[in-house]
Amino acid sequence: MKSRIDLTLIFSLAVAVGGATFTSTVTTGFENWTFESMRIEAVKNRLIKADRSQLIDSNGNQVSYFSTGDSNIVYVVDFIYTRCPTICLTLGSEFQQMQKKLIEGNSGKTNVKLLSISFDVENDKPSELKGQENKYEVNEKWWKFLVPIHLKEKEQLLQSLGIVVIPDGMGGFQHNGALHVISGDGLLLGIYDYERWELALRHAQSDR
Amino acid sequence: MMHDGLREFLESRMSFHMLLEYPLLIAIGWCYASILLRTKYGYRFHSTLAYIDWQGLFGMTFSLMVGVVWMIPAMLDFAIMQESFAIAKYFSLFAVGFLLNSSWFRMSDEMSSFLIGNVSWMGITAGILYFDYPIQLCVNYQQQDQILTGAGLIAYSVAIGLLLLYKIIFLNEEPDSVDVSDRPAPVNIA
Repeated sequence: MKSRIDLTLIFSLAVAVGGATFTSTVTTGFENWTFESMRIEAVKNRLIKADRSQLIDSNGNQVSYFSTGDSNIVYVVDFIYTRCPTICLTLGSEFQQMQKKLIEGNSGKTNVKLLSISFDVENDKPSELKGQENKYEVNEKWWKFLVPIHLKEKEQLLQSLGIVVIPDGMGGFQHNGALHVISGDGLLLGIYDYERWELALRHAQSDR
Repeated sequence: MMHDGLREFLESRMSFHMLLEYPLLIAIGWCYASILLRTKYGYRFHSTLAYIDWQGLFGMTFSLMVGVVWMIPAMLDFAIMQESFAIAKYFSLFAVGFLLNSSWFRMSDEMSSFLIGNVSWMGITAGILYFDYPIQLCVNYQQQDQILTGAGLIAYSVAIGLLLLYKIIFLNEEPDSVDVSDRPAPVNIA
């Protein structure tokens, strides 16, 4: 079994270059090494769009969201599940503060609404959503609790936004990205940490 | 080849995914190559591979490249979320085992030590990164998982490195300059 050094070097070099090229492509020039950083970059380039989704509100009405057409409205969205113990309380109070700001006077150009969308399709029915709305003194003109009509709808919505929900090991769930600023036609405009809710709201009010 | 239950289990935690599934795939590739070698086509493949694999250099380059790619956090996520990436992962890691089964035996001591040394060093570096990184790197795995994976990776890699050192220090024979004074005196057979 004779081996040729020259062919070895050529093939080895090809593999090395191929590997480097592949890595460079996937990481967009060695910049983004994680899924979330790629998602954030895609959001900046306005590449992520939520699928048109059929959601049910706390009154049991089915409404279509994120269909092309209504681009005047901008939503600040969080993804929740009503059985959530701790983090959702913080979220709830933040949304209450946002609702207060919206009620007091909308100085922005756009029409801003708040959406709390549950990803727990099995357990969160309209009655659970209503319970949450009562708990946080929700004014349905400004803030709605919603749930996708079925599992497949939920999966499509989350997948289109690049949101991955995983069990948190304590019986609950966690997911990537906190507050999502989404235009009425589904374009994901920004992702904000929970603490930066004021920035999220301001973004929703100013941007298009 | 891997049915859903097994795959779900192996990819349920980052530690399982990287420290069990990856080595398993490589081992399966290695074993498959051993079995295949006994067939006529296997032998022909082996000869063709040897032709472009002087001193095992090609096998080594391929293995290191594939290893590096599947350590990237985003790749772990893609492998879980997209079938095309999953298939690429199974195939490439299988290929690493498969190729190494012949490449390894063409490597000189220095070459194989270089390969093992590199694997050990890369593993320790990546392990420290995963262990220490302040934020969650994969959307499919929690940070606790990440820390455990980093620790495991460091442990594996340190073990490999120590075995390599042991081999270099204690097991290598010097054919031209043998210093007998160090050896214990021959025992008389009574």
